[in-house]
Amino acid sequence: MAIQPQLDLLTDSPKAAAVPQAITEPGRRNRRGHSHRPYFSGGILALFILAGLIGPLIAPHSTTHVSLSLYLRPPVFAGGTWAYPLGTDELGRDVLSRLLGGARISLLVGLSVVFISGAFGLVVAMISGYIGGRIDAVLMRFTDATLAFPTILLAIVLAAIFGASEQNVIIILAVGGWASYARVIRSEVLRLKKQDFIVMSVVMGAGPLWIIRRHLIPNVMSTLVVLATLQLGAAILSEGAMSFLGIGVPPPAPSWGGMLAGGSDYLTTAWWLALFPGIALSLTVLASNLMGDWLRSRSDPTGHR
Amino acid sequence: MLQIENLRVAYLHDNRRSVAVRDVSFDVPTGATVGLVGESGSGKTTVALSVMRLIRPPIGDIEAGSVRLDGVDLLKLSNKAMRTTLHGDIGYIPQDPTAALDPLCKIGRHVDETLSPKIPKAERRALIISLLESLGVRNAATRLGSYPHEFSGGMCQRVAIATALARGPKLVIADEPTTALDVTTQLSILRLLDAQRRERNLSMLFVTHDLAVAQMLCQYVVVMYAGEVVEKGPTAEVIQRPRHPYTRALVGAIPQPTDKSRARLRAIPGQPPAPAQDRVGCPFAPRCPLAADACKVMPELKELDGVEVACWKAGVEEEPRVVAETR
Repeated sequence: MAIQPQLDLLTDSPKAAAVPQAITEPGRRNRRGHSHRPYFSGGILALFILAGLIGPLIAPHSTTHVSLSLYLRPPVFAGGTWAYPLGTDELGRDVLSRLLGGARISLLVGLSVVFISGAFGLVVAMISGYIGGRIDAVLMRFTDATLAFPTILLAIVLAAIFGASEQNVIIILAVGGWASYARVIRSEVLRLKKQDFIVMSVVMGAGPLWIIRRHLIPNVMSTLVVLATLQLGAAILSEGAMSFLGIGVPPPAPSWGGMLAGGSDYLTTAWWLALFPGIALSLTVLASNLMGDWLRSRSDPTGHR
Repeated sequence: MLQIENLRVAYLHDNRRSVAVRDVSFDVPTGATVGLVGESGSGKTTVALSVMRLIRPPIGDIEAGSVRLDGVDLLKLSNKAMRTTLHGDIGYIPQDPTAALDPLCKIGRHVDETLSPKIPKAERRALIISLLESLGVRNAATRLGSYPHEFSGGMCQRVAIATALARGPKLVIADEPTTALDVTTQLSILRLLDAQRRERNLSMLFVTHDLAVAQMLCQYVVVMYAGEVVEKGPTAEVIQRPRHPYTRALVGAIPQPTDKSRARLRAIPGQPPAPAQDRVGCPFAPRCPLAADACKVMPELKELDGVEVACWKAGVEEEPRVVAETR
């Protein structure tokens, strides 16, 4: 006989069958490894959003009033006056006032584009990744085509057809921007789909919508947030490029991208035209990236990464 | 009770089909545990997944056969009816407990998700707590809000078992549920499963490559080799008097702590055949010490003292080389 029967192991005395002690501390969660609280990035974003909300009310001058006699005044620390703290542009408009007014347009465009393209990309990624098969193939070829098409060319075509307005800028940038979300999140879904906890849900009789809502979307959220924070800056810059080409937010309405693009003509003589919107833009991008990092580490319960 | 008849399952690669399970038939009686044993690639997990209809194109295809749970053929159900059956009647315990839980989903919610939202929340909570406590999760009430990474592997497996049992299934399918755990935890999990089977009168299909585990837990074993059932019957009979040379070799390959002879571990020479479309003869013949001309024809399962064996040489006394003599 090869093996002695060991059936008695299963029917042991209750003492021997006692379960091992719980190893981890019950209750309280210990979140370690978090990055610092986002005072800097949160502060910057809050400041700019505040500027976007009440900017026009506190601006010292009109954002669009032209007075050619005041053109290209330097900022106060470079020999200018307190009447125009950040100087004036080539048409004599106050740079500070336009910066405050531009916050609203730039942030509105940036956030709307991120939200619309993120939501659309997420939906495409879920359908494509979870259902797979022929639907996946069709959607992904469509995504590839969108990715391959130069955004600025697409923007020119669409702007030529629909005209330039703030609303159209948002739509055009969202049309060009959703594909990267779809691509990246789809690959996440493909990875998650094979995990045992999704199989468990299927075996529990959960339908596709339930699984997508309860398990897939929460698990791709950190990726989505990182992509969104990267795209926020890119969208504001793209709006600037479009303004430069005359298909962005139509002048004279101020936008950071437009000011930056317009100011680059005067870089050697009137550096302040491009510098201040440039700083505002860089700070927004930096703050949104830092915020994204923090959100990602927060949304990961293991506290790693 | 679960009845699997003539199940044939193929995996699809591009245009090729490789048949992973051939004409597999066995029953899981109500209130009993059936161990499905075999080496990696023998098709045991494929059988378990097929019962839950998780083998679907483009991955694979259930080509023939029937899987009846209390008389209802699961393979013929509509997708919707199948989902209802999966939800209500079948519980699944996966191999790796840490991967089986959503890392962003709290412990309590894992179990809660399987329960009907019609049950009041407080009642569900009480139910989950008592279930987890009965599965050996101490202070369950304070741990419902924990995340899976805060639990050890054994604790995660208890939670996974709780999600499988919460709806009171008729059938539990466990796919090597203790393989990823250390031996002491293995034992307590096996005891738990056995206790739950008795208490709830469950049918349990237990996939394992570990004969010692099968011997402890299962009333019946089904031995698979290269997608075919080679021997099936009551556990004690099959393991103490294996009739098929493969089973004999498997039993002989179990290391014995009582063995003082310092003999080398016995391995089965050769490799299992690659899954293919067609096959003639006994798949084990190339590795079999008893292979003869008769083995060029596939042997049917035939009964021999209450055990069914698919071997022309079943019952023929083997030469002593294959079986480990421990005394």
